[in-house]
Amino acid sequence: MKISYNWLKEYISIDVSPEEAAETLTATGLEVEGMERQAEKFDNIVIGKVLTCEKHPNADKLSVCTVTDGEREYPVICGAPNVAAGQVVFFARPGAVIPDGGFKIERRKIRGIVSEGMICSYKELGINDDHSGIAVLEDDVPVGSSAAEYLGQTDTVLEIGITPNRMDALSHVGVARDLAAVYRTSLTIPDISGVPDTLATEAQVVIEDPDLCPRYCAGIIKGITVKQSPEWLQRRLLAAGMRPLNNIVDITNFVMLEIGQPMHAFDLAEIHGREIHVRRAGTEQKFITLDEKERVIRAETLLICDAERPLAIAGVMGGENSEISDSTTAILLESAYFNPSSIRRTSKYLGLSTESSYRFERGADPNMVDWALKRAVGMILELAGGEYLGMIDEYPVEITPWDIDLRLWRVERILGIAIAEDEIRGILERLGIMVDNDGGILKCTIPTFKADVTREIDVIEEIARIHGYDNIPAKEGGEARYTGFFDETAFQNKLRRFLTGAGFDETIAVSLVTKKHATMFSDNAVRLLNPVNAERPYLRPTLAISMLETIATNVHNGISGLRIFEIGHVFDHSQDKERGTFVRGYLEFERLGIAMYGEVASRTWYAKERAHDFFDIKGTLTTLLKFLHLDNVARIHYCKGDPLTDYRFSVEIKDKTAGYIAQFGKTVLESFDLDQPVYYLELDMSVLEGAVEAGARSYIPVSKYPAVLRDVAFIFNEDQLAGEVVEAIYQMNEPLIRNIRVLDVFQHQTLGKGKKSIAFSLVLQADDHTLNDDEITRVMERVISNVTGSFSAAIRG
Amino acid sequence: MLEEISKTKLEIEAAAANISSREDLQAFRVTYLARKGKIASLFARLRDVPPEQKRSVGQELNALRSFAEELFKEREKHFEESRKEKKGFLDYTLPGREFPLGHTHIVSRTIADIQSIFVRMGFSIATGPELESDYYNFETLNFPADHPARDMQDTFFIEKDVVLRTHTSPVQIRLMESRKPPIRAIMPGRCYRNEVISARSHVQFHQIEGLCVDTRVTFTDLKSTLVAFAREFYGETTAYRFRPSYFPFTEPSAEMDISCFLCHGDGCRVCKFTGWLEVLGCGMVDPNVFKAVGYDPEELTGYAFGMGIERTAMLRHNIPDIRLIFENDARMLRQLG
Repeated sequence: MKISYNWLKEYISIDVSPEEAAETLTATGLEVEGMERQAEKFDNIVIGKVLTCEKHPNADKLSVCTVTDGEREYPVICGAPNVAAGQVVFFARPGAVIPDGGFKIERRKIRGIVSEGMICSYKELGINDDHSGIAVLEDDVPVGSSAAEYLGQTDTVLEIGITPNRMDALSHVGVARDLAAVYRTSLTIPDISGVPDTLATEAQVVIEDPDLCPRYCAGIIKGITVKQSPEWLQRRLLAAGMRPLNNIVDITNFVMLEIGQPMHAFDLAEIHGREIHVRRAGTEQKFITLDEKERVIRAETLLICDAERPLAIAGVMGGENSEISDSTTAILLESAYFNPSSIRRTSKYLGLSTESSYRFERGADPNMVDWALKRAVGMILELAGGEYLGMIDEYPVEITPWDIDLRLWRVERILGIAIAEDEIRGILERLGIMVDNDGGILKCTIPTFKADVTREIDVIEEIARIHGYDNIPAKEGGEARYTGFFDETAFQNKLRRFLTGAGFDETIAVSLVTKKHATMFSDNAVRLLNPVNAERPYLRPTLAISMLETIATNVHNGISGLRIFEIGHVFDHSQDKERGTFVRGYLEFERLGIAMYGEVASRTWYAKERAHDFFDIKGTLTTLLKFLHLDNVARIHYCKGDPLTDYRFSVEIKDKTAGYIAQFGKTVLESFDLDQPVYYLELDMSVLEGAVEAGARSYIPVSKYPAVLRDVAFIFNEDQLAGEVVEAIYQMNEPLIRNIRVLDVFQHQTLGKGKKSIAFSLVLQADDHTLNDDEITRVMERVISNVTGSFSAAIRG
Repeated sequence: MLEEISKTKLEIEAAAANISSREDLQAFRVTYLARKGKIASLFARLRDVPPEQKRSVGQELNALRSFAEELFKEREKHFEESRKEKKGFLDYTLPGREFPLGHTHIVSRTIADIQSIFVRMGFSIATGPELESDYYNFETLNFPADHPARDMQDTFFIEKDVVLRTHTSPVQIRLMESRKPPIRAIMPGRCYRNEVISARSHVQFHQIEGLCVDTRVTFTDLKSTLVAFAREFYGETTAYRFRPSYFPFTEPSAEMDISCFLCHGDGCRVCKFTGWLEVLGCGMVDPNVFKAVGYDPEELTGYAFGMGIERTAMLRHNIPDIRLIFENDARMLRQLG
């Protein structure tokens, strides 16, 4: 919201600079986000005098002039038809920036002749649309004086960010009130006693829906002249960011900006039956608003109608049919109070937010409605002439100030400091809150413009913000009560440390994904009702989408290999609509995704380059499981017939499905524009964390006796899985076998067709003695007979 | 048999002494130590030895094998060393064998940095879901339906009463519902806003929320906690100010500004020439929030605060565009992690 500092000072007498006032306002909660000094635009634009003026030798329409700014004479080429010697003009010197268009003045040649400045029109100065020629001023304007001064462009405009609780500050008076409270002074409100309390009989007002319109005031004025507003009024509106239109509309806007009450003027001649009905639309219908747009009105929308038809969308925008025009001579002036929620719903539905709806939906002051009307009437009589025929004030649902008890000790209880009662009373009274002490309790009567102050805590906030947050100290040396400790991100961080230590980079990608990818991975993916980006309307059902996208980005950026992980949430609709992880009907899980592609390592002097393969992702899984001490309770199962992957293995931990490892298939890769293999692992964080043994692990004594290493190789059929053999050996439950490693796997013609050799290395050890040969031989013979017996295998000599 | 063993031992000793090349070394291994070598064949004959001698012969054979192995290793070592000495040159400028290096994402790192400060001040850490009901995201946080306060946060809807959380504040509610006061916790997490993606705003971002509830918590505690945080996180000499603001779930509400650490208050583009940077929102927990979770606002008071992680990280690390943060270009990940 734009606040003119000159305007503000009409209501409050303070002697501070705009900068200081801005700081004060920010400190009371009206944040000044920007300041614009109007005069800045007119730097180097001064009053000048044309000394000489001759035709340009090389151009018919140009004149060559000499202009003085009182200090120096400048050669100036001017294109205006009305330029002549002796004129007093607006002169832009080198360095000036022309307000309309931002053109910078510097020395240049025009058709061979040097020009060092510019004589300006009103349009070029951004004052009005007059571009018929240069502006010619009165002869007695002092040459060399500031153009800004002459034009009255000396205001400072404060741009204030208004939070939704400050409906009281949506006007110049409202903003002045906060300043008055801080500077301990009072407000000067314009006197409206000159406008009589006449009851108008020319028209009727019927409020058919008092819930949505508790109060409606209408004033009738006849015999007005619609014309341009005087300059001072236009200047006020322009400073506040509104465009002047004509005196009637400008006055309604002026009053709104002054006191916060939105108003509307109807052409009385267009009000059929001279009746105003405030009612809901009743049926869906079309209506043309005064911005010439046809809008569809819902049945529940509150309208201002005459005897036959709608005239305005209540509180939002008037209609084209009853708009003030140059030929209007009689008006009905509306000043009303509408239900905030209703206006907000209408404004939202229409996608139409106006200065009026903005104020009504936050809450205007129902008891300022008649004041505003009279204020506008007084100004109209003064600026547009006419005869005031009185007003109608329908107020079926009266809204009165309310009382709040403020217990003085509560102030200290919340703020942590004691503020003297006198100080508190002063603050509240200057804010318009009446105070009465009733034995330690302040009875506060809240004016209706402070609709947000409804509880004791709200009164305390009013006190705190005017007292100043900076005057409430930070507590020194307070002792906090022990509250115990928990960390729900501890497991995340444990994995994060492990994975970064193991050479993985962490990524955080956008959770919103395309329809193509969401539905590729899930039949139950969750869609947004109102996606900002139509291309990404789904919540990711798996981290795989994010990670594949990240890989695609990096491939595109020329990164030759990547090992990444993300810890994030994934979403799905739950099959059972009545159940969900957090919100009924929805599943949300925290997952760990790990992906790798391309080079593991580039070629160096000590090693060849190597690309990632399945055993990198499998090894990552098994190492991770070892890190979590879950390696003995995890199983990997091959999943048949998964269309998205070349192969996929589910990971089970303690008999719960924890996730999977996979190599994505061609369809998936192509949909991400990838042409090289991506190896992927996704694990559920809560399954993983749930499986980890809580508490401290107990020490198990390690064997003091040496371990013995024995190698043994077998010849198998070529489709034999090594893992089955390892598992079979473990299944023997031979306590001396402590570890089995697969040493090598190879095929060779000497082994026979369709055969391969797998060699194992076994670690044998006992806890209570050194193994002797007999024991070792016995174990190895058992192993050999077990393997050759269970599989189609022969020992390789 | 025993005789043969001691003979072989002498032979081995002599053969080892005669090793003068790597070829000799290989030959030694094949002759004595290989699977079909002399020692192995002696072992093979063990089964013919009368049972009462088996034990002593076995021991001798084991000793013989160890003897041969040791000699082999010793000679092998000798050759390795002599090779190095002969080369006599170590190009230490060749790059070493590095292990792969991983990096935490800048968002995680910023969260961790902030967390560690609050953890030392006695705050626990809680988390919650990103897909939320209207009840947790708005209603219990004192956002009435049809109230302009709801415009402060452009919301992604899944259905009428289900949203993507617009802030981490719902975790406050879940926390208060599940635990008894006193509570002191911070709550990091991902949030969503239905905004057009640009250099300054994105559809997702992260927040850290803080909540402290006890019987004697006041605005002065709020200030001391946040001032301590700002001094530690942004630097000892950081100036600060609190100014009134509005959040539906706190009353009174405040914004905390710190002196711009880029221009030190002189005014620059980042602080929009004000000298101040808005770093967090805070306030005293609104009594309606306490009522929504069944706490007695007469007995308990509390403060809450929240700050945006991406904004913090962008300021701290001079990141010009929020989109870079979620693009995950490996070169950026490795720079900042």
